[in-house]
Amino acid sequence: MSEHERIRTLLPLAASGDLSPRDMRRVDEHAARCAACRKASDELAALASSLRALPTPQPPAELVARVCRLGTTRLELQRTPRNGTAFLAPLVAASWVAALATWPLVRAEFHWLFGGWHVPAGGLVGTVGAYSILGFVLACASALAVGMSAREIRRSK
Amino acid sequence: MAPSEVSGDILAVQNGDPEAFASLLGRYQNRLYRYLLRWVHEPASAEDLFQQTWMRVIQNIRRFDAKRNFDAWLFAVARNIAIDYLRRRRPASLEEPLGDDLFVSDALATGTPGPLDQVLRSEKIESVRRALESQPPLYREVLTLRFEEEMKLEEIAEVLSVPLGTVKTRLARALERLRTAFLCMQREEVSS
Repeated sequence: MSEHERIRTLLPLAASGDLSPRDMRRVDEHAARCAACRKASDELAALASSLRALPTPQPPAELVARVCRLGTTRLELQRTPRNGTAFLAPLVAASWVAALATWPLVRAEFHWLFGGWHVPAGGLVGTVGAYSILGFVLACASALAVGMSAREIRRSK
Repeated sequence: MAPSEVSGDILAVQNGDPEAFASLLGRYQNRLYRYLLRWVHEPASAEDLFQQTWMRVIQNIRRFDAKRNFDAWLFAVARNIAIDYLRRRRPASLEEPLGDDLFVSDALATGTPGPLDQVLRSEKIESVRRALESQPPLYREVLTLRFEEEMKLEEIAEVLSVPLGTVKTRLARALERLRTAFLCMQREEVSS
């Protein structure tokens, strides 16, 4: 590659002001004695200047207003899950305790429905333990379902 | 506005502050819209992408490190959305061959003073805009980021996720191609 060709590859970056001082000096020295490169350099510099002067198109005001409105709504929705998450754990625990506490009533009222299957072998401790685990698992599953449903609703918005 | 104020707004948006979001939107709306319009040409598509970009920003803002360059991050988000859009619409048009036709204008050059000598005049600006629109998207993009956004090459490299050398090469080719396109347009106008 000749010096002329090498300089030609540098001309666009010279026009955009992105050459090192050393390369810029090389370009200037070559352009001083090469009419073709001088002309190309002037044209590129003029183009760069014109690009900087292009008018900036404005987005429509109603678009900006809509994006602002949507953005605000999204930000509010994003804040909600954090509160929801904070409440979710105590809610699960509370529902579990409530289920456990009311179980004797349910059992008394609906004994005809359950029959005798709900009394596991192992006495009182075993029964309470089994119901506790069952209640906790159900409460967690419910919380998970609620959480997934809330996420779907957020996505659809 | 000072960078620290931008960082403050970003932190506030990360905490869900709608006023900070409105401030951020106001500050970047023109620049972002222009960038997207250079990608897709049609205002209707640019508007759609503008909205999508801001929704994506909100979705990911909490993961953004406020010490980083927000401009580069924002434009990178917009870029990904624009590229997805163009790939869906015109799968083959995004990257036209980046050939070595750098100096086609050499063949066009004559000894007489060229039309670009007076390019700074305002009536030429429209021709430059049309020449810019005739370029492939990747070239339009780098020209817009460098000359309209006045980003440094390092920032452009961050937006494009490419090495600095690639940015330099692409910018040089883009500017040279734009010159060629502009000269051709000028010649056509003169001959018609």
